[in-house]
Amino acid sequence: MASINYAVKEISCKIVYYGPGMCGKTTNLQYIHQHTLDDKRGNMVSLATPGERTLFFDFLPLEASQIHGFKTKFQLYTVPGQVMYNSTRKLVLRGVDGVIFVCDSQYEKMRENLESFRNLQDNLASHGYSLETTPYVIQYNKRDLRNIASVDYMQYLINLRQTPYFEAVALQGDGVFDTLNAICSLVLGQMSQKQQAGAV
Amino acid sequence: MRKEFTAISAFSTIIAFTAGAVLCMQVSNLDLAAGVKISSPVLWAAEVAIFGTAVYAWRTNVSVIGWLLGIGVFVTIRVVLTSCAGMALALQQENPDFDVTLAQASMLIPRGCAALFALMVCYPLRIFLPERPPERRRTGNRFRESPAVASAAKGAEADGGLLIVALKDSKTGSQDRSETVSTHSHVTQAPINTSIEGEVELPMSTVLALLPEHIVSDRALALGDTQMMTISLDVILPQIKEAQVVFSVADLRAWIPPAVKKALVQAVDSDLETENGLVSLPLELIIPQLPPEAFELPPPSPPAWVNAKVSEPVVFARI
Repeated sequence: MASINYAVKEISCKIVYYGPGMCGKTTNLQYIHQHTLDDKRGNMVSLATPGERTLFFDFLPLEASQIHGFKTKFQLYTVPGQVMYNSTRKLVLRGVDGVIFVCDSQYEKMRENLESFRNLQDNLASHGYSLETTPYVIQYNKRDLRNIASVDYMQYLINLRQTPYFEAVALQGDGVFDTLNAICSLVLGQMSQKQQAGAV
Repeated sequence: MRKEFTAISAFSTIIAFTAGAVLCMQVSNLDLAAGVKISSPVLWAAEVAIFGTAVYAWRTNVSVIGWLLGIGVFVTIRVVLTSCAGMALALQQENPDFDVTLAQASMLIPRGCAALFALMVCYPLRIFLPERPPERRRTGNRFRESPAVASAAKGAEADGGLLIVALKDSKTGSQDRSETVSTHSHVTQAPINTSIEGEVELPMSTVLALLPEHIVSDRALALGDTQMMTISLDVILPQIKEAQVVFSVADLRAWIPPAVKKALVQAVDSDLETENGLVSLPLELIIPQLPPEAFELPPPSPPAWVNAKVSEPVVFARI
């Protein structure tokens, strides 16, 4: 869960990129890593197979602008998308503050998107969280490819609650920061709400 | 399987047997094999080879037992046909000598004739031959075998803290996956708009490419190039919310244009496993044909956190 350190005026949040295998979670993180100032980010830690598949998770600490005088730090994680690494996905979701669900827009990946989204709900539930209480946004990635489904259809499949969504081409960076900014705003907004209610 | 042996199959078996016996008897009378001398073991070997090939050609997934059984049945029927022909020939003579007539009926030409008709008799019976159990596909996992996983797993053992689970985790993952689908499908199930009427058209060539190879003939492929298959939205719409449109081969047959359907291997000649096999139709050809109403979302019900706003936007210093 998010932590607020009043002594050093620092807020720390955990954002997890979730989605099916090869949908572009790591690509999102790599783009962010390459396009943020050195002093605002830490080293990106990535444990991948020779085939560039995430084996454990990727991690990127990131610092955003100061909000109300508080330094805001975000720890960005990705999960391994392959079905067999569910224990790792569960582990990465522990203490999550916000989720970016990355969908692969290609038709042949629709089923995997749906199963991954259901898997996200299951794994959140195993920690006692739910999408009702955990902010999430949806990123429809790979919009530059030819064989892609319409956003309408993907919304129909994944985003029935009609939460914020973004079209993206993570390789080129399109939509990457929009998605990240949106989830960070939602996480901080929820934190602010809770704080006002005296819950934090 | 046994349902596929129809009355027509039984009728054709009887007709072929009767015709074979009569024709062999007639051919035996002609003494056409005069001058051609082939020893009996060679003839037997040739017969067994032909029958063995026929059994395998007709039923490629036959088990070894089934194959041997098939050859046995072939040989038996051929011998019975020859014996019948010999007996019929003997009955025609004033002083019947069965040994002589049997020898006549066992010569090259009548024997070949009997073998041919044995093939015709056995063709409808081929479906009774036991099949090989289906081969299991190897589900090798290249990641599990990759050097990175091996080294990481070794590190995990030593460290005791790093969670990289190879074999065990893969089982857990697949179990979790099935549980996920069954227990949480209601959470994200999209509504089905049943008021939409219409049809979806798919190029027949695409559908044929998805069907099991052994039921698609060259003629069907040739016809499929110009034909379209029409499927009602009634059966498509309930499936799109699951991001797949799947039908059994038997279901698809009902929608295949008659000309192409005729050219396919018929259901009676196909096995049940094939007919019940599921075919996933390409979403990229179906979804663009659906009207926008098909993807109508329920009234927005965003969670409470969507309305939570921060007074200052989050900005990451970008390069």
